[in-house]
Parts: sequence; C-alpha cells; structure tokens
Amino acid sequence: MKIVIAGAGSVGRYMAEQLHSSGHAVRIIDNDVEAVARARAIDPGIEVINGDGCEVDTLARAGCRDADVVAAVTGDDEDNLVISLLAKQEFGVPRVVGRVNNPKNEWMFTDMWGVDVSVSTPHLLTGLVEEAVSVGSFVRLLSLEHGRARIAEVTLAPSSPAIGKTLTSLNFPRESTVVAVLRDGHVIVPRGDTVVRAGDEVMMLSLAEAEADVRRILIGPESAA
Amino acid sequence: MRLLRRRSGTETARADTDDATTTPIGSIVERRQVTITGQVLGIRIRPSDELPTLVVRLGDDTGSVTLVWTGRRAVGGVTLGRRLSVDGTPVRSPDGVCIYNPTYRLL
Repeated sequence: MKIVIAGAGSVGRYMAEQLHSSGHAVRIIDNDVEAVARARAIDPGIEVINGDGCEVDTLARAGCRDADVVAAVTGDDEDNLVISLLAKQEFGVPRVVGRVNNPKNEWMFTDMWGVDVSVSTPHLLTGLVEEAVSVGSFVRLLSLEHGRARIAEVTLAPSSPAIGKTLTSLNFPRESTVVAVLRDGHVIVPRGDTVVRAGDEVMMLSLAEAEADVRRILIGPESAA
Repeated sequence: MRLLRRRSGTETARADTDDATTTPIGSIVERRQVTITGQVLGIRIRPSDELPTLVVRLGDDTGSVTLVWTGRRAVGGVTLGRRLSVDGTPVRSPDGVCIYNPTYRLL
C-alpha cells in the first residue's frame, strides 16, 4: 500500500518504520528540519518530504494523488483536521486516519472533516487503565463507525447475574454478540453452551443502542460504570 | 481556522464565463481533478448540530454528480436550474461520487 504520514514526531516516525518494514511504500512529511533529519535517519527506503502538510502542494508532492492511506498524526489537532480534510477533499484518499491529541476535539474528527478513522491516545489509555483496575464494570475498548458500534469488555464480578449461565440463556440483544471469553489466560471462542464464571473477561461487540441491555445482563441493574 | 482563510480566495463566485477544458460529467474519473459544466438539478440541505451541509446535484447530457458544500446552508447564486462550471476532485463517498467544496463559477 502507498501510505503518506503527516507529522514526523515520535508517533509518525514509529509508524513509518513499522509500515516500511511490513513492505508498504511510506512517505512522511514534516516542516521541521530536525524532525526531517531524524526521519531520514530511519531508513533510506522511506521518502521524507520537508514541507507543510497543510498545503495542497506538499500533499501532492508526497504522492497523495495515488495514496491508499493518509495518516495525520501531528501533535496539533488543527493541523490534523486540515490535513485530513485536504486528503479527502482534494485527493479523494480512500482511508484517512486522524490522530486526536486533545480529547475535547474528538467530536470534530468525523467524515465532516474527511476523517475515516480517528485515534485518540488519551481515550485509549483511559480505557486500558480502566480495564486493568476494574472488575464488574463496562470498559469500552474500541469504537467502530464513529461510535455506532463498540467493542467493550466486562470482567465478571462474583455478584454478576450472569454467573453460571450459558451464553444462550443470557438472551443478549440481537444488536450484540459475545466475541470472546478470556479465562485464566486462555481465550475461549464463545458458543451458545459456554458457561461463564466469576473472573471471566467477556468481550462484547454491541451497537450503541444495545449497550444498556448488555450492561444489565453482565453487571446487573444497579451498577455504576 | 487557517483552512477557511486559505480557501476563501477560491470559493468566491466569479461571474465570467466559459473556459475551454470542461469534461463531460459522464466521463469523470475518481481522484482526477476536473472542470465540469452543468445545470443544478436538485438542492438538498442536511441540517446538523455539528455542521450543516448543502448537497447539490449537477447534471449535463452525459450524467450527473453530487457537489457538497460543508458548513453551508446556501451558496450565493446556486439555485435550481442554474448553470455552473465547477472545478474540483471527484471523491468516492458513502453517497456515491461527489465533489467537496468545489471552486465554482455561475454561468
């Protein structure tokens, strides 16, 4: 795939290195001379463009016209939005990924600004921290289609109403499904007759409208998230 | 809002007419910048709390294409039946091929 990365900070450089080593054609843009020098030092196979990613000309120079993916991963949300919008509007890039630096800006990272997928590091970190500390609460791990569906995880507390029941008998709403059950370090591929126990981590895929029901089934009525 | 400043120069409508290199709408290619000329066949406003959108259907003898102006409820001079010349990049979107925030000229 042809991938253009805007922003040669630590995030952009890491992505460039990883994607290049998996065999993709990677170009990386930055207007800071030092960042450009560091990016050039990664690998001669990665093309580095010194310029402002918020300018159409720079994006054209970086090959956005036939890029499969553009990732706007600078440390500035305004720049990331401008780059995303230009990549979509001026170049029709099929997949535009935008990095959210300040969670307050996440609502703007949608198709309105050309963003197909937004990644918010603070939200991701919050989710992972919550996941580590919480039993019996509903932890959202991943949003799909701008929050219309989510992958979430619940570690079942001993008080969960689901304990000892089969997945079939839990009657999950049609807009949700159990993706996996993690137990003692093993991944159990869920079947209708899988019985859940206290301490199991249940991974759910559910649409937004089904989340309340899923919560009730796995955690119980009175719980707080 | 650097973007808006940058684009404001190109968004201004100009009343002058024709230039030679227009492409028939039926033969536009995705991701290749074009200039097309046609008639406004339909106008739709998508209201939104976040960002209102003006959706215009532009057609000629060979086909039609969707123009999308984000953040607008109306664009001066763009009315039903009006002939326009627009310049932009056709992009694949969930609603079909469309051109976002094109440079336009009223004919």
